[in-house]
Amino acid sequence: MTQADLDLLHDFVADRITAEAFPRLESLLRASSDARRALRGLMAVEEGLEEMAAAHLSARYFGTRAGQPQVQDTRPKSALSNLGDGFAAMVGFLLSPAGLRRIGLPLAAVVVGILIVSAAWRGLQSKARPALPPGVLAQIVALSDPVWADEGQPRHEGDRLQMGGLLMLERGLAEIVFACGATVVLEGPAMFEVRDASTGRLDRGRLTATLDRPTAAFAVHTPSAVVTDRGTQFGVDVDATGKTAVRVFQGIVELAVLATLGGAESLQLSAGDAGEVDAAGRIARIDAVAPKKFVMSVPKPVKPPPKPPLPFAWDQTRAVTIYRDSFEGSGPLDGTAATGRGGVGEAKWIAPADGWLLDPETKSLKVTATGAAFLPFRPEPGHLYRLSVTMQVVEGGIGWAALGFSTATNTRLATLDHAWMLQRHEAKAQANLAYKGPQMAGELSRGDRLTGRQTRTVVLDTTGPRWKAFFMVSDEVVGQCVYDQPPADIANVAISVFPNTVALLREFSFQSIHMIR
Amino acid sequence: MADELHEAFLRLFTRCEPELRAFVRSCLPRLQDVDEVMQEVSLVAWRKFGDLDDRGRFAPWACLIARYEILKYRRAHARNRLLLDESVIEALADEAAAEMPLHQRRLVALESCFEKLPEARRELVLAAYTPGTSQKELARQMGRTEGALYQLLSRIRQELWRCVEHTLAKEAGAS
Repeated sequence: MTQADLDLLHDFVADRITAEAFPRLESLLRASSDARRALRGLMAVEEGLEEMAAAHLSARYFGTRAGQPQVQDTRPKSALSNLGDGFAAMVGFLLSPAGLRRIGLPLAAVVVGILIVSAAWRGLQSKARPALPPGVLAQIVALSDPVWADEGQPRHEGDRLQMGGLLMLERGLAEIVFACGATVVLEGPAMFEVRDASTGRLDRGRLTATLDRPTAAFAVHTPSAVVTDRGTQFGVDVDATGKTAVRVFQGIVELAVLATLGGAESLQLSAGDAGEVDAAGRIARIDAVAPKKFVMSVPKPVKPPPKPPLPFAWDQTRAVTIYRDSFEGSGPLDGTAATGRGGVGEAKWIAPADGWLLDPETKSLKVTATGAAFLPFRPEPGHLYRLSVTMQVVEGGIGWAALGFSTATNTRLATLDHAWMLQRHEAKAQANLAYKGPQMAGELSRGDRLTGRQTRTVVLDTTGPRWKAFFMVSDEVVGQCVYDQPPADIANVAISVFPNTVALLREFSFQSIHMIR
Repeated sequence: MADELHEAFLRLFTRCEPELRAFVRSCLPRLQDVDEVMQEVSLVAWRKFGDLDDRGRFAPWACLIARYEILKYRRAHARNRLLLDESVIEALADEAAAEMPLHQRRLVALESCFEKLPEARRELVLAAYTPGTSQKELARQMGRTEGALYQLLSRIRQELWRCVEHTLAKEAGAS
């Protein structure tokens, strides 16, 4: 391979290749495996140097090298890429400049979010619970749809239970941890009392007990029996007559007739065995406890699925605020700039003189008149622009408030021109619509359940030859569109309100990121 | 169960992401193109992760997805950009997939090669690659033209590439 070939490959890697040289590059790569290998090598150098620079920058600002692991790894050691398996290392890497650049902000955000949720979830599910505070015999650690009996005390998750602590559960499930390490899942209807750090009494109902410390002991007293457990899992069912049935799931359990019934008999039950003691103190092995299965654990609340990554790479740390206005204050919006109200940006609002007032009472821009307000702005290629406002339409039926981009500055018209979205007062069909434009052409999507006070955001992506717009309600993308030709006539960002509509607008923000290096 | 799936995916994806990214980059040099394709790869891989029977084969499986996404991206953008022909991408992808395990070693070798550069050159490289740096401004600070700076950086990159190749060849000879 000649130096000229290498220079050609390098120009490609550095994204400096010309259209004239490109066919020669393709021929070279098609014909030569050496050239293809060199290309991969040069790419690796390029990427490695980017990583090093990011790590160097991170070290300057944070005192550590980005992504540097503190865990063992059997792979070849590289401060650039040795990430290890540790959760902290992974999160650290993802949040580092190098990590963010490598994996991209949207994915990094999702990844870190999922990791944190997973870790928290694992923590909740862990059987190795922390010891209870001194003096606390037991604690309620989870509840599922509990209904408490009228004569009993309502209980809550986290309640600490002392000697005699009574749970009268009509319906639902309660999970109780004892100081000895036992976990009891109580299934309503049931009446259960904490006797001491390793003993409970079940007067009626069902429970499952789990003790995963073989050195400890846990006992359940019932009106007819004592069930003693040494590192195992079992279920107890006490019926209305006081009859006690026990089924062992793991380990060995001793089922004994309560001494006050005059019995001294007991049974040793192994995994799979079942036994019972009736109200008269008669003890026996049985085949099955009851047709109903014991509940082994309290189901955890169902979590919503993780949100998908945003379809654009917004990195707030790189964002420049073009204009920000809390809309707190007083006076007409027309002619005001954000400077002086905690915002930035010198552009002044072009707004109707009446009915567009900054209202100190609601701490918002209260709009009671039809029309639109504009801030002069012209988009440039190579940027992400993020326009948002918190919006609440408080009157107006099918009337709406809107946010987006505009060409003209007709303050009497509520319809905007490009990439705009509206929210209606009525929470019926079409409560949210987005338009590619011009005006009401290119209707995109509805997010009809997204009503009330929400932050609406329009993102204009001018980084490619075909501009894109994304429409969001809170953090949810409700629509997007692509422009075959950039809408070059955009001259403002705008908010607008339909006739006979009252809207409260807060926290207006307009930011940009220059995406091209 | 869903959490376990998430975590398994994230661990596997995070582990092979540098190699996967290098793989994509060897076919698409522009960072923006790579970012777009990688985002699609991550989403498609996550959507299909439940169907992957052998998680030990995650890297080649993700590589296949990446290859498909590269070609898809090329078809969507080839009119507007200088993107390599599909047959070239196919050839690069075949070899890059086979070379994925080499990526780590390349980076390790690059570190030691970088350390061998004179300090002034190291500083220059770090300055040039720092996010947000303008080559024009850097050239102005150095009293050079932008073209001269580009040529200098090109020589340094090629020097580093030769050093890395030499290191890998030596390692291969020693083993």
